[in-house]
Amino acid sequence: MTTLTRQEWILLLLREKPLDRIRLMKALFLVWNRSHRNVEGFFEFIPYMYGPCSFELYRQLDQAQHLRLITQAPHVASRWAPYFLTERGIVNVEKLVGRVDPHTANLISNVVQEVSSLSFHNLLRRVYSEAPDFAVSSVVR
Amino acid sequence: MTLILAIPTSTGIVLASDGQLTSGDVRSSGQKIWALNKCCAWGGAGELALIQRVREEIEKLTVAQPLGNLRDFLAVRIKECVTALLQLDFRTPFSQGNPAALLSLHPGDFVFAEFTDIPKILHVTSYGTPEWIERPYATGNGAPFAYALLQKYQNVELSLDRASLLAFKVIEEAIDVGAYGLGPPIHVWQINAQGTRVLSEAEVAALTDAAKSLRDAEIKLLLSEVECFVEAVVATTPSPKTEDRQS
Repeated sequence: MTTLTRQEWILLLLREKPLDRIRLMKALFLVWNRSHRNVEGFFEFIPYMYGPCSFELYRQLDQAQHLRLITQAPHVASRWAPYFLTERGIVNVEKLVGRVDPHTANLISNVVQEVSSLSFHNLLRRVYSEAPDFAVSSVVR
Repeated sequence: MTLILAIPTSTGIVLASDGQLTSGDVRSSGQKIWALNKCCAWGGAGELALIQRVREEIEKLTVAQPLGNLRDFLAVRIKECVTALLQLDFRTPFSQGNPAALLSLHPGDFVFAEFTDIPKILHVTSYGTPEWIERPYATGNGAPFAYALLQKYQNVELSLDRASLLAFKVIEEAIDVGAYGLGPPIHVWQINAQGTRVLSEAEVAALTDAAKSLRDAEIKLLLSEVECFVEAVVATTPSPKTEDRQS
């Protein structure tokens, strides 16, 4: 599988579709889980109270916003607003696309479409059914 | 204006607060909880001038003692801070003879949370009265919201992580319903056998997402129960045609 930085993974997923923070978290998890949990330099997930969680994602999102690679549109609750790529983010991610092998590109595309189409509740159910070991601390099962 | 919440558990205490500081018509964000010593943290609600003064007094002290030993000592320091402010205050002479009016000049309320082998929560009023609290405790103008939201969790044993989530969710909802003077960021402290610890921004962000999932699940549960109830009612209610036939 293509070796990418964590920030590059975020940009590649958002290239498919803007995602809110929870969907992005679960999408990254599904990418990792469906890659036999073996992706070099990837986010590390722990079973948290809403399923798999990587605290590192929050830091990476802050950093990517600070670097003006991603942004959030105005929203009544800004923490739930989807993240969009900025023009700078688009330029950066288009340079990456050629480096991504077809299998990974396909996986990213499928996962993003999937998490976008599911309600929040059904998304959690999907994640827990695929990775029950990450549901052990969840407040919702 | 403030909301500070203390939730005791068998393995520690969660102490959490909103993060809005209000001074006249101006608001800013800041800290409302501080470490007292290795295994105790405290927070203050009320007038900023009084909280600042109490904090200065506490910082001067060597307070590496159990909260049980410090109880009266802290109460006296807080009372002295109120007295000092009243002595400075131009309005004080006009309220002489009216204790309620005097105390309303410099309102304040303080909560101390310590965990050694058991959780201990100490509440000290601005008039210097200390009391031990053995249940979830809220102070500040958002406290009625918090008590309402916490009511169903009375006598429920929670882990420290679940209690952190609950504290965060309660404060977030109190802020969202517009209690005057409450605002982000939400600060969450955990006090356990390892000491006091303030959760990082990433950890608080994760609590935000977990609170959303819990809130969504509450709604989902209510809707599913209502659906079950409707199905049960439909199943046990004779149809109009049946009734007609019976009559």
